[in-house]
Amino acid sequence: MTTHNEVHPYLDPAILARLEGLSLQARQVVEGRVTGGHRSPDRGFSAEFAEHREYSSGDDLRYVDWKVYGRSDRFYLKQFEDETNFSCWLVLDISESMSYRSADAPSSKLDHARRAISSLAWLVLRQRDAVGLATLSGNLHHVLPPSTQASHLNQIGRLLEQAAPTGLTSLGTALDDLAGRITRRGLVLLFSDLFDDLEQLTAGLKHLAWRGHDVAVLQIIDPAEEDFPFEDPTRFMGLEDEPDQVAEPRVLGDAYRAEFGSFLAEVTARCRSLQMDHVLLRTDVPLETTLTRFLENRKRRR
Amino acid sequence: MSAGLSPLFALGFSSPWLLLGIVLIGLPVLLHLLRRRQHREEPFAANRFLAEAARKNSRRLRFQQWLLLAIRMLLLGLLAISLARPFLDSTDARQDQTTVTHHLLILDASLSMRFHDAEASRFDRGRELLEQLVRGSRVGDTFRLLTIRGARPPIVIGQAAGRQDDVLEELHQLAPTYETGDVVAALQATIGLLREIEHEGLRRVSIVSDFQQTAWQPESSVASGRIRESLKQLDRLADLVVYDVAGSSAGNSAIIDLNTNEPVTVVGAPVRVQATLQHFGTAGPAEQLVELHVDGRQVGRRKVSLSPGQTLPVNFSHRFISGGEHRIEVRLEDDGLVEDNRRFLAVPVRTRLAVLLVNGRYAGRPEDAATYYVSTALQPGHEGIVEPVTVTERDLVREDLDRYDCVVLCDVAQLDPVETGKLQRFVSGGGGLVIGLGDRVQLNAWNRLAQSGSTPLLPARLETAVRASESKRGAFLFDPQGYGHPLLEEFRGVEGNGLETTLTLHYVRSRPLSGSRVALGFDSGDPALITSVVGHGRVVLLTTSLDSRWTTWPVLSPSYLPMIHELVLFATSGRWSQRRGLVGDAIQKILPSELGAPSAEAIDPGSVRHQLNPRVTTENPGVTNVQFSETLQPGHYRLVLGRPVEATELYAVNVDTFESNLEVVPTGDLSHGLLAGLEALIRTDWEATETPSMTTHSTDPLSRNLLGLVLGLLLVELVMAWRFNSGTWLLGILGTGWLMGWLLGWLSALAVVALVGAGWMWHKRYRRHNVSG
Repeated sequence: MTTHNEVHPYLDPAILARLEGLSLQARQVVEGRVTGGHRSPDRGFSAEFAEHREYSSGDDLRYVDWKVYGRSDRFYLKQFEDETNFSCWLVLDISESMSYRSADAPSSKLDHARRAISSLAWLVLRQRDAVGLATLSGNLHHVLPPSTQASHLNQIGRLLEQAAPTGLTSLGTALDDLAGRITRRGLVLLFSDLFDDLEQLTAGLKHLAWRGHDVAVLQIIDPAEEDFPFEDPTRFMGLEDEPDQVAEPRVLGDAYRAEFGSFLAEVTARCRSLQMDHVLLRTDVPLETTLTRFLENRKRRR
Repeated sequence: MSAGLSPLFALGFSSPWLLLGIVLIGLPVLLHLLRRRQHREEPFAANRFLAEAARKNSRRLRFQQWLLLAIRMLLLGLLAISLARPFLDSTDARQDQTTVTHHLLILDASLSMRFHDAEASRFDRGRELLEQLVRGSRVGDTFRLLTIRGARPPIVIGQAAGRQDDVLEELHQLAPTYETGDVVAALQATIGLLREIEHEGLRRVSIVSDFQQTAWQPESSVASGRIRESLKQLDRLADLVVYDVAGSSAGNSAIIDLNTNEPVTVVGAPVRVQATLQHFGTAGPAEQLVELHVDGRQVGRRKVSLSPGQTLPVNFSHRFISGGEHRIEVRLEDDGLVEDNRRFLAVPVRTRLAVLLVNGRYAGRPEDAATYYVSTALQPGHEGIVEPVTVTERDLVREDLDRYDCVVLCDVAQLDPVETGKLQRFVSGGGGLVIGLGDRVQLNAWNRLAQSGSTPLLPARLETAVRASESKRGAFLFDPQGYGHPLLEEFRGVEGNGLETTLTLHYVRSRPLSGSRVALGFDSGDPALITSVVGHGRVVLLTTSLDSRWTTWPVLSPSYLPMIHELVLFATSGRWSQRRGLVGDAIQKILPSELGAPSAEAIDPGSVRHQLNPRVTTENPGVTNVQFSETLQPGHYRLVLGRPVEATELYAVNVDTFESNLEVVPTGDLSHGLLAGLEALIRTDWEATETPSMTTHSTDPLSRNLLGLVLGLLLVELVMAWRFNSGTWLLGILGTGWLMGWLLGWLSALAVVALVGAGWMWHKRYRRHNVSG
């Protein structure tokens, strides 16, 4: 597979090289249209036997288990576990807060997410699975349905490029909306800083999980947001219509870090209770490192 | 000083104006407000957490900020207070910790302070002591400086001087004088300055002197009483510290007088120059070398033996070979006080002596003229220099008296006002006047002369004529009254001088005016010769006649001729006797005002020229007064008068040997005598520990503690601004340490030293072990 650097600004050969030997696996049963490397909910006709069921008219006679018919004089069909391809939904939060980039950070959170999405899309397409993209902030903005076509990577790149940061974060409703639109069970990867009401977010995530999706949360944060390295008295100008905050970082730093730390802990706890992966992507940590670890963890836990 | 009713403790400040620094405590607030406006701006995505953190911690944060602000304000306030050097003043501690001190420094600059021992002069020691005192003073102290001296006002710095450098500069420029110290004047001036001080503070009078006995304990009970009274007043007004810088005392020899035996010195005649030496003290060199210098050249030299306490006249004989002004100086070997070992004399040597004889009686025969015998007696001349000129009574008014040294009035009936005025000016300017009576004299007219003016020409009131018939003996004899008068000096001890055998038949009974002196009397008890001083001149009145009308004196007595000479010379000598004075006395020259105001200048011994301003005085409009008062050093002064007088006169100025006696009031006697009952400290050296106002900054415990507190708070503030909790801990530790510090300070120091020592030992052993291993 060729890289698409010239048409796809967010693909980094270095990252792709690191991801070369890896694959994105769904941890639970997903639905696919073609036979693929993932467990499918459809019992198909493959090499691995799953169970028997009684024949009903219209069933393919090729799968009738004649040995059972010989013993019991009934028609049973042999059912095999179907290894299917899956659709992976990459969901990107493009709210204004994602545009933040602190002085020491190599890129904004949005850019970081774009590169992560591009890399994973490449990976998914490479393993012949379908990949779709949805961008959302206060609501759902664009939805690019899943496809296994190699050219789909270019469409994803274009959409990523067009996705300008806008609006307030309201992940709960946007995810609800998305859950209603995705019919087939698949893998949903949410890229966001999650600066939203946690209750609504949890509700949205729950909705996705209830629909049977394998959901992973890749939380993207700026190093300054976690470390709060500021020294001088500063007027912090809020994004997404949040009020400005005048603070003396030396005085308030510890309290802020504690507050942010408890927020991260809360997110982690909620994801765990929903049995979802939660990965923290700091924009100052190389993407290949975090993505590799994420992928390997998923593979191990499968 | 009386403490009065004052609180037990009072807070004061050494430099109260530094308290203005307290306004600095507003600085943190100001900075806070300024910094609020100078926030940098930063977009931030996670503001919600920041807001939440601020909301949750707002009370704690506000408390921290208030605490930090309070520490900063306290820090600056304490810094200002500690810089203002506060002190706790208690009535007992008043002497130890003071506010500003107003120093009044009195330095004795009189002659005896010039005494120089092997190391330094008394004056230098005193000045050095005062310099130490000034240098050791506190910031804010003020100084006034006075000297004990004679001629000039004692105040050197009258307005309070605050800068040490200025005071030191003034001290540096001070020099000892040649004058006798006027202690009372200096003390009274100090009292005056003390009363002018309006500002708060300690007042301290420091007297630096050798306490020379004759100056500080004069024999006159009035004078010593005034000194004592002044000291008492000072003690009431201020703290009194007395520094005795006399050091080692020693004997001192001085020339206490120098004169010539002749009233008028003439060319060619031998002149006896007599110097009187005195040895003050109890021990000293027995042999002394005395030298006579004339016009800067040594002309005589004599070795004398001078024993302690002795007064010894030393005579030199000298003959002047030219007329004019001559400088005589007698020198004694140097000792500790060299200034009184030189004495100066100005000798005008005359080549002629002009005498105007005024004949009051018209006569056909020359020998009947009233001036006949006087003229005859003066004719041979004194070594040929006396030039008598005889005029009649009527011609007196036309004579230019300035051409004459002496005027002799013989039986002049009366003087009109013009003549009187003329003679008055003549005598006041130093001329001599000899008056002889006779038949023509109108007593009432003459008595008016005795009443006129403040210094009447006639030295006595003429009362009644006394005739020989009133005498038991038929004639009156002279009574020399012990030859005490200088006029009779030549006759004293001369056998058969003829004075006492002279017969007088007729005289006028006279009553001398106050200030007049009787030189010779009659055996009836009435005066015969009366002298007085009028202005710079001298007047001699003979109550009988100068011719043979009333007395046999001119005809029969051998004493007539020398006596006439003596009369003329004595009367004339008034002109020369004014040519010497003491340091500080004014040199004065009286000129007739008809001459106008000539230009005049005085040249002092250092050849410095001083322009003078001759003036007509209001009390005596007939004369022009030329005066020079700056006779501040001994030596010969030259008075140069320009046109129309065109004359140069020499004056001798000598030191007053009043202070040549170097004996001082012993320190023990000071406290029991001069300073008895006063709270004065008596010192011989400047001692920082005993002069409380000179305590140095470092010994000020209150401000030292405050500065320590400031440093501690500064540390706490720095740490607290960085990490509030660490700052709080530090505050706690420091606070506890401060409380425990003085108790455990030494133990902790020992423990630290032991730990460091042990660590070093272990380090050495460990290294050795490692190396060997």
